[in-house]
Amino acid sequence: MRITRRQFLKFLGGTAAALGISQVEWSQIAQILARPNILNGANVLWVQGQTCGGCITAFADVYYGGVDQDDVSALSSYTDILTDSVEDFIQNYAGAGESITVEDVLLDVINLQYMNVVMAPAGDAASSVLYKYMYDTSYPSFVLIVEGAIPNPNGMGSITNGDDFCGIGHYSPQNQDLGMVTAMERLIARASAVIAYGNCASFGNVPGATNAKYDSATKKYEHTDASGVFGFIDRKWPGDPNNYKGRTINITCCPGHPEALLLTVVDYLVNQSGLLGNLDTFHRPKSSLTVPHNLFEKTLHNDCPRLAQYGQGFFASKFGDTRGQAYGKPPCLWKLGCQGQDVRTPCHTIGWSRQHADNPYKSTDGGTNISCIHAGMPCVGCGERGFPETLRTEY
Amino acid sequence: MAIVKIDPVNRIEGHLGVNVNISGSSANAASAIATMYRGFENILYKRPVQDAIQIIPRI
Repeated sequence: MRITRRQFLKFLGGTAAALGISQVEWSQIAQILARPNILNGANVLWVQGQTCGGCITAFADVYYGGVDQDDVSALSSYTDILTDSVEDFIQNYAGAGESITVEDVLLDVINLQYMNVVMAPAGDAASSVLYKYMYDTSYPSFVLIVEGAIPNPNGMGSITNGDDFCGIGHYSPQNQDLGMVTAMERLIARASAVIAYGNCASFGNVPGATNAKYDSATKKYEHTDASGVFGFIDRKWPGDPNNYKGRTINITCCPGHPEALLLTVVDYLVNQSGLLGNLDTFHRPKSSLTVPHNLFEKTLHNDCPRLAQYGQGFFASKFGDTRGQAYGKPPCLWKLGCQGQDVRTPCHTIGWSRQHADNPYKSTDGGTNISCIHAGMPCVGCGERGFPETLRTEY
Repeated sequence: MAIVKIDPVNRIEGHLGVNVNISGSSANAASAIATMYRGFENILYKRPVQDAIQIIPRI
């Protein structure tokens, strides 16, 4: 799948336009992204723990060509304004028609050193990279992207420190099984920044769910007691004396919004200290001067397509309530347990599945944002801490 | 008899290891190892059945 550098930047321009990034800041970002080998030695390790793989799937689906570049024209009134400056810069710097592959994107933009789903090597060739980053202090600094939850290092039901719940490789020269807990102990300490991508790595999510299966023989609950990066730091280094949390960024939602991850990485490259100093109480990125956005600041309720119906008191009484559909005014889903008033994710500002123009659940309010509410499903709060305990089965 | 362990297997979703028993120059046996456990059956235990539709997709 070959996309040109212009198409890639135009797509980013489309995303940026939806979030209100201004022309001045975008050309600065475009300068950074248009440069080959921009990282100057900084690498990215993407390590998967107890994950379903949905986060990398969402990310790959957007940036491996799941996006039809023609759909960016849906925002053409915005992108024309932005891409004039971007195209000028591309003409002068990158050259028209210069093509890059998706591999170039992954290797040049974020210089991905290790990632199970997309990397070329297997076995020792791959685990040696992870082993060296874990144990060889001469290896360069890196940004760690964590996907998936980390099992309990105290070994709730585990016969080791939790590594037996989640092994991530075997390094034959040392005949050593690499486990997620050991890898996190070493990589979090050495990373220049940790991006916890997805709700599992942020808050534990489904692998960290409490459950009622109690084994009276061992007097333990039968769960892996998984946690996100923050919970792991609390368990492994109580009190966080080295301030690992200070360089951890959470990108929430299940799966994590891929545009949020890319914008966060861009913000990190452009203004690292500004990003790390500008996080909210859950360490989600806030809007910055270089990458202004409002990804995690407004609730879903704020931009909900059914907000008018909420104001009118027109609520759905059951799933499949089709009243008002004929007029394009489907009922508000609050009484079915919608948690949109408490959840702050970009589901209504960026949305999902932007390219599905013929999706039967495409919103009728003219926008291209697609969220659960557009499909008629109330928000279950998968982007907030406490999922899945916060599920409210009102039905 | 040597055991060759290939872990991680790349280009798949999820975690997988492969153990191959080699004696001489031929492989006698091979096994695939699922290296990650979350316990979805335990997570679903005694939850309202309607919660399953939100939890199971995360497998």
